Amino acid sequence: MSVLRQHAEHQFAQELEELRKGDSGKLPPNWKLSPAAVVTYLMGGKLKNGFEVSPKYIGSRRLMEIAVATLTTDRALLLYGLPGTAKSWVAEHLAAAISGNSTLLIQGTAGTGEETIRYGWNYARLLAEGPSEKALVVTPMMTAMKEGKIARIEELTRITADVQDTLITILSEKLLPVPELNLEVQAVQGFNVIATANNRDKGVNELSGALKRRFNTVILPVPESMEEEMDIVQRRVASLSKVLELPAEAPSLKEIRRVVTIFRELRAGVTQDGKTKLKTPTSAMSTAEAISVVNSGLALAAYFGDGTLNAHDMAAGLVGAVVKDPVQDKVVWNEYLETVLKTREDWRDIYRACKDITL
Amino acid sequence: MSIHILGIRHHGVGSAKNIDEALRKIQPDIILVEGPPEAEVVLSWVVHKEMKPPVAILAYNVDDPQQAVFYPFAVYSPEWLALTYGARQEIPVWFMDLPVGHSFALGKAKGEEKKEEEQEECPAPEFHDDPMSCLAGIAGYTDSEQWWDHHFEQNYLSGEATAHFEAVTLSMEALHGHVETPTRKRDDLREAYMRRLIRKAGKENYKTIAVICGAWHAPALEDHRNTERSDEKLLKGLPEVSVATTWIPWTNSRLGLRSGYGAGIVSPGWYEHCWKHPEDLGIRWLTRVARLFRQKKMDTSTAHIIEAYRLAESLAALRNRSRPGLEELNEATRTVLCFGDAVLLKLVEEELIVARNIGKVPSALPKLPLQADFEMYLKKYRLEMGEASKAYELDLRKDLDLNRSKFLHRLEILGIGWGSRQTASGKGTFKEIWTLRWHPEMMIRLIEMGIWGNTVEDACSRLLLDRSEQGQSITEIAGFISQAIPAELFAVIEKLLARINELATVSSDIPELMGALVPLVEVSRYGNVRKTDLSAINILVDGLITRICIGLPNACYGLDETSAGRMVELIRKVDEAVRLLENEDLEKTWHATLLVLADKDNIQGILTGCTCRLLFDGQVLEAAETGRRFGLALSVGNEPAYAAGWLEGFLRGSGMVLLLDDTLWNLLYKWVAELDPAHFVELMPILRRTFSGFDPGERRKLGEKARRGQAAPATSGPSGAADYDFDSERAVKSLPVVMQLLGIN
Repeated sequence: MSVLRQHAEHQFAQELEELRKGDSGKLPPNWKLSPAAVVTYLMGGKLKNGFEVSPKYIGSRRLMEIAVATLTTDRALLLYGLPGTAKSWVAEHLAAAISGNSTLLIQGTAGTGEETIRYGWNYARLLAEGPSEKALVVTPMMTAMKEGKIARIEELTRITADVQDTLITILSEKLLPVPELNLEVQAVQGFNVIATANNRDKGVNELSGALKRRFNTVILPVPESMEEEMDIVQRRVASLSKVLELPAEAPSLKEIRRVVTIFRELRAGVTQDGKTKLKTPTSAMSTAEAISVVNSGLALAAYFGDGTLNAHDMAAGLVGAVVKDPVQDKVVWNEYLETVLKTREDWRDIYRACKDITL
Repeated sequence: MSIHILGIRHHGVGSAKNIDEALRKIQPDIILVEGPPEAEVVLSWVVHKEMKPPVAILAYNVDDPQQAVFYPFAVYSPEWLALTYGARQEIPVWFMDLPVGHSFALGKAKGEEKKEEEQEECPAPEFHDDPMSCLAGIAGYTDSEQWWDHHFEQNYLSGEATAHFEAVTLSMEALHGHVETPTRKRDDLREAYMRRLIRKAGKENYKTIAVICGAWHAPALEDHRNTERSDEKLLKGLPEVSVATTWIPWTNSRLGLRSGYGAGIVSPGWYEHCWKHPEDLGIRWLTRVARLFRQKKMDTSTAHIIEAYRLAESLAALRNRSRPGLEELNEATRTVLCFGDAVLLKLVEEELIVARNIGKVPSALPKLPLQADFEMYLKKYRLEMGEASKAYELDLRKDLDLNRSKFLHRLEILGIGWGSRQTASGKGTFKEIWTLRWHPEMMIRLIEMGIWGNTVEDACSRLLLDRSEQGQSITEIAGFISQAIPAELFAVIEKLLARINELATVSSDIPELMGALVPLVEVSRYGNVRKTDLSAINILVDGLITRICIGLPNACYGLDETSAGRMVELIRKVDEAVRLLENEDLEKTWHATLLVLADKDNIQGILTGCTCRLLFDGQVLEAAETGRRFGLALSVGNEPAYAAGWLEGFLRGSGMVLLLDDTLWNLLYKWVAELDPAHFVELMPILRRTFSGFDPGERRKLGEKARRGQAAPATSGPSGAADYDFDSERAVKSLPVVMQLLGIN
């Protein structure tokens, strides 16, 4: 049985290996690849020996360079942006490329406590044997510090402020004291933290000034051009359906173009030709959602349809992605259907398909 | 004879350093610089102690000053260095570009065919639509500017100037003549002229000749010996116009524009920093950034600078660069200091990267008389030509401020939009708020205005008079008057008034007279702030009102709905103007006219309604009389459309009267109730339009009132407490507690 989703370092093991072989740059301590090779891994490109590295991030090379350069200094990296702008994706690949291990992950939630960041106790042991190193439950953060690897924190701003601040010592002193055992863990070279945070969410905890100062912030933008966004959707859909073993044919560019167009128009609040103003829905309309719309369309086509992706297969996912709020978004969507989609001659099928579902 | 051809980039810091070194080494006895030969007469000024770059040579067509071109110089421009070097060493410096006179003449000929290209007057944009991208592309750069920067500007090595210029010429040789450029034809002419001057210098027995030109032209100038015949053939019979040149102050942000040299730079502040602190690797720059943020009340610590610098360094290393450039520093600033946010970076861009500097030229520089006059006033009124906007709050009761305001108004007449006026808050008439922001183009405009006169006052007066003679409409001339009054051009005002009078006498266009009246009344009412004598205006205003009163009733006949609507607006405005004047006689005449109008029954309802309302507001008509007219208008005998129109005229703008006056309210209520459904539907839009003009509070109250139905006429006056059955004795007992709750005592 193969796993549903492989870690980045396994899925792209060959690429990483080739990059390592051809890497002539200087390695920062405990890094698997040189900074330049990490950027190549993220952005893709052809190696000297002709090996083709697939692009992981499609967008500005400069942003990736800043991210990698940040990690070479001992500052932590904060990836910030709308939901679905590839923050976690970039973080995972950075960790995979730099440390060869993307699994040192702490998921931030409102309930994340200090013990998930620093260390916890195995209470059975603690009671039986008293405090000892054996009774410590080591967190990914502690492991990363000991081994000189990259730790990842997802959704940093969802963690409550007091818990967030436990990171300050870790990031500035590179130190994790365990007062109970009168012992401390000092981070080994190569240790760093990549955090992601989302600026659309409600009820988030702003970082304190002290913590903010420990991070270099890179804001990941929504894809700039139509072509760029289509490229992202197409690549991700192709790789995902390979993993999920969907029997359907690869989606036609035409369908992807339509989905991406709808997403871009609703996100920007104006039609592609810049002529009609639109209301925007409450949902973020991220590229990641566009990918999942195409993907679920493919699944529908494969198992219930004729194997080729058509408007009907896509409509269900599309409506679901747009209409997050049953009242407001429905108005937005219906307006969009009637004023924009309906008028497009060759979009009749998708208009009708959506109409069927929305009603 | 030795000739040294030094190819540079205009405004390139590295080029400048190399030029500096090369000139010292070569010790030329003449320097030839790419630039307009017509400007040689003003060259001696470059070493004047008051000269402070950024400055520009302005060359303009004497007959058409709007055709102009600038040659800007920053303190780090290689050309500027050459000019100052020449002046200090007291050796001749020649400008050797194709004379602007030819370019203008050629441009004009071309401009007649293609109007829109007129802006792109002069020389070639060598760094833009550029052939150099060929080389840059081969080297793996996406931007040729960057490629040039990295190879020729950033890494200045002292003692290598000769090699540097050789390398420049060699790389350009690889392109010149092989790559087609859009400006090829013009370039050929220019290069021919440059070669001609090099030959001339040789013939005049100069031994060591330094030639400083844009890198692109360098290879073309090498072969100056064998090209004499073809050059002369090319240059023969070029058309020419006469050109004047002068120095004008320039601004950093304008250095970014392409003009003259066809090359602009986007980050003059950064270049200046590099020029002044060649040793700085970025720390000084980042410190300046941090201090700027601090000034703007953003917390920025020294640790921030350290972190930002480390990031910039790692970025440079990642990109294989020997030191962080502006890009790396900007990215580090954004990531560390601005928390990823690009908005704050704008501030850095404005204040540091572009930097709002404005240059200075010697005050003794020969100027056009108008320009001199202008500058004399600047000094006198203590106004500064700054690039950044600066706000002035003028109190017109003070002499200096009054004069400033007068001056700014005059400039406005000349079309120099240096100051923009905001409406002052508070008791406005004594206060004016101006925001001043100087653009170098305004100087051209000023020079262009030189044809009207040699002083600002003269030029304004003549310009206005000329326009008024051409103007045929009273409104237009009234507009001129309201411009001329704050500018205090009294002689002109008199003539303008005379002109209006002349036009008004023959004009039968009452609406136009009405339109002109309003600004004039405003002037006569508020103009006295400026201590001016306005009796002439008052006489004119009297005359105008009289004319309007006579003509108005007839002018209201036969109007369609739209023009009636416009007329209503005018009538309301005139009414307001008349009230402003506070002249009893005029008011009487005006009201009499309105009464005549109100009694007419074969004009649009909206007009009678409106006049009726104005008379009511002016307390000429009693409430009862107004009620009678209201009822009359809404009575069954009238066409419903007429009634609705009347109502619209009467109620326009405010429905308060309906809330307060129950008689009118009842009349309206009854009328609406009695409309038959068909008529009601027909009138709906008009009524809706009328009511939609009221403010929401009013509308809500009207709605509430409508729900209660007809009001009982007797309910006026406070009804209040007596109606309720309450025990005052017990009420008194509660008072101390209430007082305590409210915190009284």
